[in-house]
Amino acid sequence: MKQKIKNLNMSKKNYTNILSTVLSIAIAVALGCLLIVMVSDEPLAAIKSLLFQPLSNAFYINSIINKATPLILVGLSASVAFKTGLFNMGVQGQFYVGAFMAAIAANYIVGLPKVLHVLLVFIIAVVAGAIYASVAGALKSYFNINEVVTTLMLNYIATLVTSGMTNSYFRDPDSGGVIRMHYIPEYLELGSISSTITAHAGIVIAVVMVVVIHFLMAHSVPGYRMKTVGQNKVFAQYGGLNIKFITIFCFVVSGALAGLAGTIEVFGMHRSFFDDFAREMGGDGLIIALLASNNPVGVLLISFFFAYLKIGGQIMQQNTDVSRELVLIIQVIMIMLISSRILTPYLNKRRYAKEVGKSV
Amino acid sequence: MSTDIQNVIEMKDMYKIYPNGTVANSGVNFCAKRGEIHALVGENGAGKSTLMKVLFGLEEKTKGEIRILGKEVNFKSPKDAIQNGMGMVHQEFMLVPSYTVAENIALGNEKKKKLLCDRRSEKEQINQISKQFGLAVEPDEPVYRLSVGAKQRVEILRVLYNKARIIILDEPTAVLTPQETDELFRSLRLMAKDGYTIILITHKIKEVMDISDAVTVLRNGKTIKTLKTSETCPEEITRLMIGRQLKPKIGRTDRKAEELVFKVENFNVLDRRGVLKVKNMSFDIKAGEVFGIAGVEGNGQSELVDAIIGFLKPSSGKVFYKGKDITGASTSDFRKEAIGYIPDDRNLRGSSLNQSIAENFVICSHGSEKFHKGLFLKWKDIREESKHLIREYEIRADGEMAPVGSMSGGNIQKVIVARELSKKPDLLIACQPTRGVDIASIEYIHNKIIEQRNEGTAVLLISAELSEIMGLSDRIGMLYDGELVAIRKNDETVTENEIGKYILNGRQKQKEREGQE
Repeated sequence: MKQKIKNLNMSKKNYTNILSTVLSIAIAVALGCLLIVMVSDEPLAAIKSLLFQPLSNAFYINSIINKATPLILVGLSASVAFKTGLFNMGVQGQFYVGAFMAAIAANYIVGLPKVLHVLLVFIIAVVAGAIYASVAGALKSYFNINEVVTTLMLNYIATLVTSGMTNSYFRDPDSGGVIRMHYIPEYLELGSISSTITAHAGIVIAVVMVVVIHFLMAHSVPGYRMKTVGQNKVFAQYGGLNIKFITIFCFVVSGALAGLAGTIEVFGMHRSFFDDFAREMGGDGLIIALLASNNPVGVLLISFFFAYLKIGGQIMQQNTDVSRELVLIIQVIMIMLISSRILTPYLNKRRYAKEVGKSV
Repeated sequence: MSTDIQNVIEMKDMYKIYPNGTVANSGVNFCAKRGEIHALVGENGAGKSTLMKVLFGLEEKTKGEIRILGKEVNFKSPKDAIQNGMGMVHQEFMLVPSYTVAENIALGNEKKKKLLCDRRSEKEQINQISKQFGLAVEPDEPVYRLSVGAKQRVEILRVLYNKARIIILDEPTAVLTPQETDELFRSLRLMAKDGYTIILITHKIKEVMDISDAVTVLRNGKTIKTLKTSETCPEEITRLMIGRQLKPKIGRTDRKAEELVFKVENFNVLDRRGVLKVKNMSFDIKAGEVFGIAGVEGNGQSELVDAIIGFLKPSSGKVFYKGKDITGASTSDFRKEAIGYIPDDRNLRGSSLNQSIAENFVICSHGSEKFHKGLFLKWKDIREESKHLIREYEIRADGEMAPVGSMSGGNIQKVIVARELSKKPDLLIACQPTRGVDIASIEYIHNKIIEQRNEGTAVLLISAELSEIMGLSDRIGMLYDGELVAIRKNDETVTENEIGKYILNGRQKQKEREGQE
């Protein structure tokens, strides 16, 4: 019987995890709705705007896609590090460094053929993000400095330095009251996917990266090594893996993804680097990775869900008396439910109780 | 109500199913009488520890009835159990190293004089108990300075100090030398005579026969039988435990060991805190030879191995492998050689519990041509090879993609052995290769090591288990306090007691020194 139940355990484990995530989301949304009923004078309208209106027209749907694009990439960025057992709290900083370098390279490299310029800008931004992250990786590898501390510190440096630069040397003098750089040349902008899907092409890159990261983590040699280090560092060392190198490599990949996210945000959405323009990005990335259990496809789905909630929140705030901060509450409830894994043991227990009840 | 008040503990029809679905106990019955030493035996994964954890309130039972002195109880936590006169000595000691013996014993149960602790009366009581049962300790000594045996005595004293009448000991002899074991057993007998009930979890049959009054055998989470020790024999218990007879042992073939494979010269190693743990050690191993290092744990075994494999840097000395100087090589370089290494810590160092068996198998070999092409792993080949190893090594698992942590200790150890031996090593370093492993797996692993030796592998065997050292080695090195105090050929004249004396106090060494002076 032991064997039988173990088998069941193996095959259904994933399924239970997904079920518990879905249930957690449902409970969080339900509690959010309850809260709306309590605070709002027009609860039905608010719930309707939050949950249903985001899908009511093409504009909203495209907004969701645009919102989801950077979230997917920062989510992947955080999840790659988590998988390796590292906490890259510096997604935010790497995102800004990528975005900033992209804007600089777009504005100040001139005279290149357009295609080459596009490529070069992407490479510079991604490499900048990677290098910036690898600082934390190197400090961790060679001086054993906790990466949580260094990445958080590096966030401040990135945010403040890019802000300072944007305020001074690189500020567009015609920007009026807004602190930003020059708008990037038009040919660098990420265009719409098609005339019906007006969302910018960044989503294509993001989805491609989901596939790439999936293959990297599940089927490649470096992915196997990263995962092993993440699961059991002592075992990895015993097995002869070069943990120092793998740590730095992991930060490079993670930082590159964050940098790419920044680049796409600049090229697709804002067309310039604005001072501190996406301050929730790093945190969202970490949360998405957490909720998705670091699964790339999960990151994709959760990112869309987050984007959906964010757009819903905006619509709700425009149309009714409920503020969009309510979405934050829903997110927080979700995080608590999922990260504490409250539901998983409960679901397991129920299933085993059923099985055991039969056979005992 | 149970009428037989003699039954201090009665557990009826116990079930324990963990939330992850593992069924640890399914219908266990267990009774222990007053003044009885009751051995609870079974292979790893038979459910002994779980049963005792349930009894002690560390785990919640799924179903069943527990009676203490005829009264039904349902302990929610160890606190309840302790209040009902129970005590447990765990395998891992739970002591505060920087506190003194007395402070550790009284921890959480201090005698108070106004606002202060009454250390003097605490000590008096400790001395009294310690004298009564022959558990010698020095109350003012800080615990970190104690030997393993003394730490265990502190644990037992703590249980007695807390007024326990029922004492559970979880594999107490796993860390002890023969002499220390004898002392422990003497104390246990005194306690039993005094009316204490002692439950001894073990899988060593010799101990069962030596000390217990009764024995309960568990297998696959069920009680197989409860027997009076005087009315049974070791063979019967073994048969009940594993459900079959053991296979005959593979013998060591006579071979002339000649080619030198491995050599350690004047090796000195400091541990991470800068304490000299390996002192001027020298030995060599030839092809087709098992060199066993006997010694109580903590006498420099782990530092020696760590320095060989590159987890630590030796402070002086040399290591040669096939004539090549590999002193201070990194672990990555070391693992590239045809050297198998079975570490003593299988759950942390030897395997990655959350990863699949296949992923565990290829930790060393995934870089080879066979298992990867360009950047990508050849998962199909890896799985095929894993299936093959699972079959060959008789590993009981739900397929090659099952996480290693879902298996029993014996099977995890087999995974490690399979991986290391599949390298076709010329040198095998085996550290405590069968610790905490069930009898059937021990037998299997021993046979595999002998097989390797017979095929010409040089084996460095490090074990605290004397029977293992004596059963497998061609030569035995006795380790005491980081020194090899003697190296001796393993023939019929070697006795456990002789080795015990060396590794307990390095007596021979002492004599030699005196002789020289």
